[in-house]
Amino acid sequence: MKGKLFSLDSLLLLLVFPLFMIVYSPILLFPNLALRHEITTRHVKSQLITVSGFKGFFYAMLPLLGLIPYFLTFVFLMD
Amino acid sequence: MGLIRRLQLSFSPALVLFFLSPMIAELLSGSSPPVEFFNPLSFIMLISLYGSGAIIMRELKIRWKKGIGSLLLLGAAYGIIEEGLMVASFFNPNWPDVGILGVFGRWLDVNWVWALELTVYHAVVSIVVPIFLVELAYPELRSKSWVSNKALKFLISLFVGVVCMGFILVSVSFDYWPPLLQYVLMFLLAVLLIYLAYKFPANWARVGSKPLRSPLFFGLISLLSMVAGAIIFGILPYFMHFQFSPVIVIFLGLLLIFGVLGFIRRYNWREATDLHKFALVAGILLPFIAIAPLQEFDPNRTDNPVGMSFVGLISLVLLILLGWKVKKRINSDMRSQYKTKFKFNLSSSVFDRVLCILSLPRIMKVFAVWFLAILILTVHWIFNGGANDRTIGFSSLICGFSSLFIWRFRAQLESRVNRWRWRPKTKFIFLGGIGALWVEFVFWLFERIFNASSIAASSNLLLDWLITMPWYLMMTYLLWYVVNKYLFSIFELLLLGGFMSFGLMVF
Repeated sequence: MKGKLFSLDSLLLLLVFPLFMIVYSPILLFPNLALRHEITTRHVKSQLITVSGFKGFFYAMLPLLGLIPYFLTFVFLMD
Repeated sequence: MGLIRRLQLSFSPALVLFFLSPMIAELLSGSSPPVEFFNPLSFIMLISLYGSGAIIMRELKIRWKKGIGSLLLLGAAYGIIEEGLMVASFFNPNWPDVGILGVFGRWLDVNWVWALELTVYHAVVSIVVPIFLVELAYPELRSKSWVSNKALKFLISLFVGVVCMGFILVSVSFDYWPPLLQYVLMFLLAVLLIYLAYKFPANWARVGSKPLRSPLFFGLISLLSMVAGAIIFGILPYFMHFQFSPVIVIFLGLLLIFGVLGFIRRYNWREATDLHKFALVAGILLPFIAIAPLQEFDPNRTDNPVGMSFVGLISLVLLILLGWKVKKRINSDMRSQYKTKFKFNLSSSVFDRVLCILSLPRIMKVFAVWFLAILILTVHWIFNGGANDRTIGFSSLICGFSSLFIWRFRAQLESRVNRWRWRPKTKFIFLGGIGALWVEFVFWLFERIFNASSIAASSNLLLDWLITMPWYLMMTYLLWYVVNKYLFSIFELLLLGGFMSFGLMVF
């Protein structure tokens, strides 16, 4: 771990938050833009439940559950 | 059951006003500190009096299709009814709160300076401010009636009952009965004010033509007016002992009231946003919030002011929350306006793009500056940093350009993907996976080029993909579930990506 970026602690990492946005942008924009019409139509036609407020925030954080395999691997390796 | 349901449906903002009016006028002002205010008997009396009074005055304004001018007159009538007719503090020189004004400005058995101060106080603080606050919290119901005819009749009965009962209780307990002639004249004055409110032009406050200034300006005006009012009515009487000094105080008071109203009225309030109204109200409330903790530790108080600091703190938090809500609503309106006016795309002219950025809400402008600063820093790393910095800087920029490329050709991409005969979920996960493969490849590639280390998960690309793809696929799978629950804007998606990337980094 060398270089200026790696010398920053996690609080200072927040300062470069826009960089995190840029890095993940192809992963999120690619499927969402390609299926934009499909997703909007599903919302309108199927009358899917749209959440907002705190619940919306909770739902938005769900993809972080994808970290579970890494957590399990980490625990497994530590043992 | 039907009546109860109707009352419940029509009472939500009215119920808030019912409790808010006494809380501002009595609790926050310190007239009735928490111990006194929440005493069951006084609590019922206060909410019945202020709550029903505020709702009645607002209903009259709405049903008569009137404006702020009429509401101020109705508020003044309320002040006379409460202070003059119910507790008779306009006449009683020994009323507990009257202080020096029981002597200063007393003429023909009326405490004139006190009467003027309390009439204006109740008009503004007990009636107009709570109504404005609730209307700001319920903007969609602002021009509508909040109570049914039956509920209004009940509230009028409650108000009259509380005033009559209060008059008897106060007169008996203080052993003071007001002079009949002055009392009747005060009653007639209240009736006259209500009649004037009925006749007053609805657009009284909306005839100004001077360009409207910022909300902060009007907030300062109302704040300074409150401070000036406190000096005129609260401090000057203690220092002015010469003949006719009460006349001067009354003159200064009237000058302040009509001067401020006239000054504010000169501006074009047809262009006002809710933030302007909020600023006016906040300017009035802030002095009360500021002095609330001082009241708690005032050794000269004869009552028990415990909890006033807490009241001030809660009021401040609620005021900030309301201001934040108002600001958010205005920003949302602005966003929808600039989205339709200045649709940002790569084929727009430079002028359109500048207009688009200038019309962004302030928070977005701040974010844009932040974003730009980080981009400059990234370029700096590329040219002046070490191998790892250079790798991260270059890879990030390539990822950013990839996203711009995807966005530029999104229509073609969409039509191409539509031809695939896969299920939408499969397409979504597949495309998300392709995006992830690309990002990992870019980082791996530049790590090799710049001879950096510890950036990609493995120096072997296949192993790197094998390690990272379970996370990305799981993330994209869950993202599909999420986008079906909430329709993200592009910016929200980018933010979400930032949080997920940051979460992974911290983890």
